[in-house]
Order: sequence, then structure tokens, then C-alpha cells
Amino acid sequence: MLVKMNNSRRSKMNLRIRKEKGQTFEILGFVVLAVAIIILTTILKSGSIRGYTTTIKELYETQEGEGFRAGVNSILYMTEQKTGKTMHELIGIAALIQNDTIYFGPTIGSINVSEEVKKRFDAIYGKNHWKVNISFDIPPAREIQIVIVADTSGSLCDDVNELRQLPQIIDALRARGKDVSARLFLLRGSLSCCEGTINCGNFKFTDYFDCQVINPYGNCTLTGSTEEDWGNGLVCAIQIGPKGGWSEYSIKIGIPLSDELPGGSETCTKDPNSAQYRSLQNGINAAKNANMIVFPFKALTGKECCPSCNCIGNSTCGICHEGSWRFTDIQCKCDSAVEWYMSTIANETGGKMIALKDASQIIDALINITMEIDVGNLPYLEIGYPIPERKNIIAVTLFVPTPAQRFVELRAWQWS
Amino acid sequence: MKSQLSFVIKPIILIATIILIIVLVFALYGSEVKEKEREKSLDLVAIATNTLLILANSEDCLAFHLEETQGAYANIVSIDKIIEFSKNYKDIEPECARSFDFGWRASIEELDLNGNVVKNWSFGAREFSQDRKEEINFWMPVAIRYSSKDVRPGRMRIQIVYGELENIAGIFDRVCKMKKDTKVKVSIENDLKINGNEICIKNKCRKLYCNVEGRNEIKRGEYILNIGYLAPNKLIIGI
Repeated sequence: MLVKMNNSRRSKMNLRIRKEKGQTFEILGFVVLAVAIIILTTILKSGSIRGYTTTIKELYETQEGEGFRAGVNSILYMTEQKTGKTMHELIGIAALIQNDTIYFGPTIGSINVSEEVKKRFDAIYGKNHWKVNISFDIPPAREIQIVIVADTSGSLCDDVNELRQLPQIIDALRARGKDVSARLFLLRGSLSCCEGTINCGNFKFTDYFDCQVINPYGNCTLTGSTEEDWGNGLVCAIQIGPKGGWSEYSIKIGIPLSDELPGGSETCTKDPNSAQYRSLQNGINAAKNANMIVFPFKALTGKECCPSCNCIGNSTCGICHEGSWRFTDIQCKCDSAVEWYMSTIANETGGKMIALKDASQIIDALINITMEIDVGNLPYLEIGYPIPERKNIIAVTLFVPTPAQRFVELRAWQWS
Repeated sequence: MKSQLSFVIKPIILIATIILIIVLVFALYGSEVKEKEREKSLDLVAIATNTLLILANSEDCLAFHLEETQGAYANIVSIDKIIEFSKNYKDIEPECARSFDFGWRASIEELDLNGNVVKNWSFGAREFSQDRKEEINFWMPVAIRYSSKDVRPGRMRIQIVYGELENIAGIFDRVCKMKKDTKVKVSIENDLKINGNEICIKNKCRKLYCNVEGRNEIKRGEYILNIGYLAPNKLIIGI
């Protein structure tokens, strides 16, 4: 009986324990389920919110980019005060000539595109907050326009005579793909040479070459006071321009040809108040305004064969002038001054003085200049400031039309 | 012994479960609030950019039409339109860029090449809610066109505000522009004063497109507003 009772109690206890175990598992199961549902809900909900926020953020970034693009566009449509041209017009021209300095004639002068763009970006976005890169990946303008201003004193006879080959040389250069043209200006008319008078009538005119006289009573503001006044003569040549006039985007080359100071070597002065110095300065200013590169040709002065310059009557060291051989000591004595004058105008305009050792070198020198000239070959314009690291950078790419109906790529960056 | 253990463990598990649920619910709610705040702020910046782009590029607003831009945003604004807007929209947003959810005021500054402001014009809402829920200031460059040869640098600034005044004015203006009777549930947190085509909350006032009649004041509380439209520009309010 006692055993039976013990068995019954044990089985009841077992049942209770099993029941309690079941309840515990039930609660645990419920807890696990609740936690799982909450975690799942949290993940799904935060995921969907984050997705929505990401979409809005992307939308905002797109709009931010559009805002910057519109800002850059607005800057490109702002005008430069003197020319009235928009920034994108100026960039287009700069791309075409592959030079960021554009010459707009004597009244307006030269405009530096990089500086104009920089001023406007600085005014709007502030310094150190932007950068612009403009690719000039288009064929450059290759038209080369040359004006030669020749001294017509008798000592230049052989040199000017050499220039008679110029029309053929220009045709030959054109045949080699150089878009070159030239106009010869003779200071005060003609040269009295042993072979006779040389004037413009002695030159063959072609479509790409002709000759004109700088007449002291002509239309130029400055015409040159003497037959050697190549400084003022250059001013007049720039004013008259080459055959057909100056082309807006051409490479402009000026070549004074002389063996004397501009205005004469009667005195070898470098005095800023002297007529020679003023003539030089006039020439430099006109060339710079015209964006012209000057390559002065220094003809023989006699110093080469007579270092003492004391060779009057020495026929082997003179030139044939008006039927006889002469040595002119004033040219010889001013040799270094002529060199200084010519080097000055060359350095100021980005050119180079060429000291001729012989008149026959003129044509070769001209060919070399034309073949080797490499101005305005900027591959791109980089304006602005270095892009910083660890900043939120907005970048846009735009295409700017050029006068040649082509487009150049403009990339702009902005940061706060 | 086992039953005693179960007796202790059960309430502990229950309490732990409740704590866990509370923590998770709060974490969920907290992250949701943060994300919503971020979303609202981004939304406002996007609206500011959008409004400026519309103002500067829509011919109905300030844009000067230029064939060359071929529809691209170029922010070229006409000086004549700037003068006209600053005269006609001294204290209300122009319809061409009105947002019924926000209030805004824009100003246009003409700059010299040193970045100094040389001239200034403004238009849009004169005043905003005193208790602002959201506010953002934003700017964009513009080209101010005097003539084809004279386009000057400029900057257009916008202040966008979201508050109770802007919200309620938006409801009225929307009905006025839609020209359709509307029933809308609103919760007004501060007393609202109505005076013709102007509503004020805490002495800050906003102009409306239509004259509002039927009530001079709505006290704080929750209402269902019946807004009736009467042509050409009248709204009748019933609660």
C-alpha cells in the first residue's frame, strides 16, 4: 500500500515537473519569437527609412550638382566689360588660338581670359573654393601674319634685295602647310642702290605677299621721322596691318630690319628722352597691344669686319651705295646700341633678335621663324586653386562652343 | 528544488523580455526620428535648390530666355524682371515659385569683381513664424543681364522657413489657387488672427493670395476647416 502511494506521488511529481518544463519552454519560445519579430521589424523599417533617406540624399546631390552647373553656366554668360563678350565666347576664342591672351584691336587691347574667369569665380565662390580646367583639344589656329618694316637707307640694299625672294618662299611655306602671309613696309619709299633703285614695284605681289610704303604724310598716327625709324614704322605697320587686315586669331609677327637705332645712329643714346628711345617704346607698346611677337633683324653694321670702326675708305669693309663702296662709321660705332635696342623690343614681346652675318641669311631666318614658331599652344587652361583632400567636392563637366563651331570641355570643381 | 528554480526564473525571464522589448522599441523609434529629421533637412535643402533654380531659370520668374543655353540651367536673370518682382512681390512669394508647404524670401545681390555687393533687391514673404520648425538659407550664382553686352555677376539668396504660419497660409493659398472648396483637418498650436488677406500668429503676419472671410480668429485646437472658394479671390471659412 505504502509502495503504491509512493508510486502515485512520484508519478504526480513527474507530471508537475514535465508541465513546468513545458511552460518554461513555452515562455522561452514566446520570448524568442517576440525578439525575432522586433528585430525583423527594426531591420525592415530602418532599412526602408534609410533607403528613402538615401534616395533623398541622391536627389539632393543631383540637385546640388545641377545648382553648381547652373552657377558655372551663369559665370560663363557674364560679360567682360571692355569687349562685351561673354566668358564662354572668350574661352572659345582662347581655345581656338590656344592662348589665353586675346588681342581685340588698339582701342580695347589685350584681354587675359584666365584672369577674367578667375575674377568672376573668386567674386562668387570666393578664393580657394573652386577650380576650372578647360581642355583645348582642338586643332589650333595656325595662320601666321608677318609685317616686315625695312630701313631704306643705302646700307640695307643687299638685305632688301634678298627679300625679293619672299613671295616664292611664302608660296613654298604654304605648300608645306603653313598658313602664312606677309607684307613688306618700306620706310619712306625706296632705296638708292648700286643696282639701281629698289621700291615696292620691284616685288612680285601674290595673294599672300605685297609691299607698301610708309609714307610720312600717310594715314598713320606715327610714321617714322627718318628712313631708319623702325620703332614708329612698326606702329604704322601694325595700324595698317597685313594684306586683308589682321585676322582676329592669327599669330602676329613683326620684323624690323635695320642696322641703325630707330630714327638713326647719329647718336648711340639710350636716354629715355631721346627720339630713338621714344620710337622704340612706341614700337614696343604697339606690338604688345597687338599681341605681336617681334623678331628684329640686325643687318651688318661694319663692326663685323672692322672692330675698331675706323675703316673709312676701306672698300673691302663697306657697302655699295650710290655707285661706290662706302664704310659708314656711325652705324659701326652704334653696333652694340642697335643690338640693345633690338634685343629690348624682342624681349618685351617674346621674340628674339637675329643678328644677320650676311644678307643671304634673311630668307633662312624668316623660314626658321615661320617653321619653328610655337606660340599659344596651351594644351589646356587651368584656373583656380588646388583641390583639397577630405572635402565634399562638387564636380561638373560642361561643353563650351568655340568660334570654329567646335566644343571644348570645361570641368569645374567647387568645395566649401 | 527544480520547481523553486522555475518559480524564480519565470518572472526574471518575463521582466528581461519586457526590458528587451522596451529597449528595442525605443531604439527603433529613436533611429526613425533621427532619419526623419535628416530626411526633412535634406528635403528642405532640395526644395531650396529647386526654388532657386525655378526662380532663376523659369521665364515666368526671373529668367532671361537665351537660345544658346538650349534649355540648360544657366541662371541668367533679367534686370527688368528683378525690378518688377521686387516691386510687385514685396511681401509675398511670386506665384511662379510658390511652395504651399514653406515660406521663403529671396534676395538678389549684384557683385563687383572683388565680390562686394553693389546693389540689392528682394522679394517674397516679409515675415515668418516665430516658432520655426525648420529653416534653411541657401544661395546660388546668377548672371544679371542688363543687355546682351552687359551681363554682371550676382548671387541669389533664399531663406526657406517651415512653421505654423507658413503651413496654414499654404492651406489657404492652395485652395485659392485650386479654386476648389476643401475640407481639411488642422491642428492649430497658437491662436490665429485673420484680417482680410493676411493671417497672423504671435504678431508675425503673412499675406495670402485670397481674402479670407467668415472668421477673424481661430483659437488653438484641432479643427476640421471647411474652406469655400468664391471667385474671383475670396475664401469663406467654416468650422
